[in-house]
Amino acid sequence: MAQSSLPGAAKRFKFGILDDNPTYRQLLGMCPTLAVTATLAGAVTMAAATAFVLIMANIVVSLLRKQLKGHLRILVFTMTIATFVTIVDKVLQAYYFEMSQKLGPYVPLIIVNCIIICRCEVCASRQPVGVALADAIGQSLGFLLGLISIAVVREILATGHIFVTDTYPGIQVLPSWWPSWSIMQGPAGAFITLGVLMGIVNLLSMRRKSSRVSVS
Amino acid sequence: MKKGYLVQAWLVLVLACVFGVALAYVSSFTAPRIEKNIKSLIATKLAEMFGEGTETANPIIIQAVIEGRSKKIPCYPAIRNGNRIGWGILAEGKGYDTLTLLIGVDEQVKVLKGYRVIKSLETPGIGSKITKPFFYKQFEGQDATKPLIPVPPGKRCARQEINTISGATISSKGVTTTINENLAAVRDKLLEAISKEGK
Repeated sequence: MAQSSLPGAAKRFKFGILDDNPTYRQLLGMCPTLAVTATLAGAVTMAAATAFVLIMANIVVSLLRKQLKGHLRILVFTMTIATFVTIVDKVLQAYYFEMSQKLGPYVPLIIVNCIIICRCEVCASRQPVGVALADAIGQSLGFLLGLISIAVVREILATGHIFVTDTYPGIQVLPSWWPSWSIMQGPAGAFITLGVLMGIVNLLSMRRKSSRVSVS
Repeated sequence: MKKGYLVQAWLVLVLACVFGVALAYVSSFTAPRIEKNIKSLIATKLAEMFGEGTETANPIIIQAVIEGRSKKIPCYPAIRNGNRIGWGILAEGKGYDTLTLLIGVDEQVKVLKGYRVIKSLETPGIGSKITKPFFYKQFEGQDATKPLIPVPPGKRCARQEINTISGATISSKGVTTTINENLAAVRDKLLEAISKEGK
């Protein structure tokens, strides 16, 4: 594909947040999206870990893009991603041990998060480092937005509080008579929340599109 | 074409070396902290099994053979009011994936105080139920000198029998197998080490 036809850094950054949002548009990274969004703290930690891996992988792959040809590129992508995931896993175990225990197998599973290998293939392997970095940051912010939006709904409905951790009871959002919707802490609640929010996002997109068409 | 493949093979090898060095560097400053965190976790889990105020100290390392493989099994003392009241045996085994359990036994390695999961990659929501009290409470008070027998869920349990978790048979049996194998391998050697200490 000709370089001139590919989006630049500003477009890559902007698209990653909303138009190409990895959660609501690309539907990538669904496993951690559903699994770790029972609490806001877990969601933010997972988004931060994924952001680190995505940014570093994009930088490395972009730097090596002219050497990558043929079938070995997937091997290089996987090796790069696995290295940074291992680094993140070790750092979490060393400095955020309780959170690492809570996230459990989902941190090592970042290796198979399709957002990362997709961005390596679609952007980093074809465009310079600056564009790849902007793309990674945009997609990371988009993923963070996706996780936070789901985590806020689930945590508030499940506990009536937000920012709940082991040592902090959280800020009360709903009145004390609110019955805890424990279903929101489990897989069923995750799917329901994701489905409803995705429906709302699609509805807003359709309305925006139709208002643009009517203006033109 | 051949030359291109050779160039790529070198690239992969160089990357492997560079990444290996990077991981070794990260491991050098994270490994001590991770070990400290795990020790702190073990102390917390021992307190859950032996009662509040239980502390631990440096483990006795038992060299044992399990399934034909030589392993070093750390046995952490459970200490309360300056007296050793039991042991926490850090055991590795296999459920659906690798399991690391802390097996609590009394000072004479005769009575099981239970177990707690230190590390588990079991399927969340299914195999991960091995961390729940409804399952691990079955192990408390069992005879540590005889093997535990997994039986189907709902069956009335005789002594030494453990109801497996419905839908998580592999994980449940993994726990009982891990406990049986590690206790059998460690018991005599740990008692020998204790008697040597006393002399």
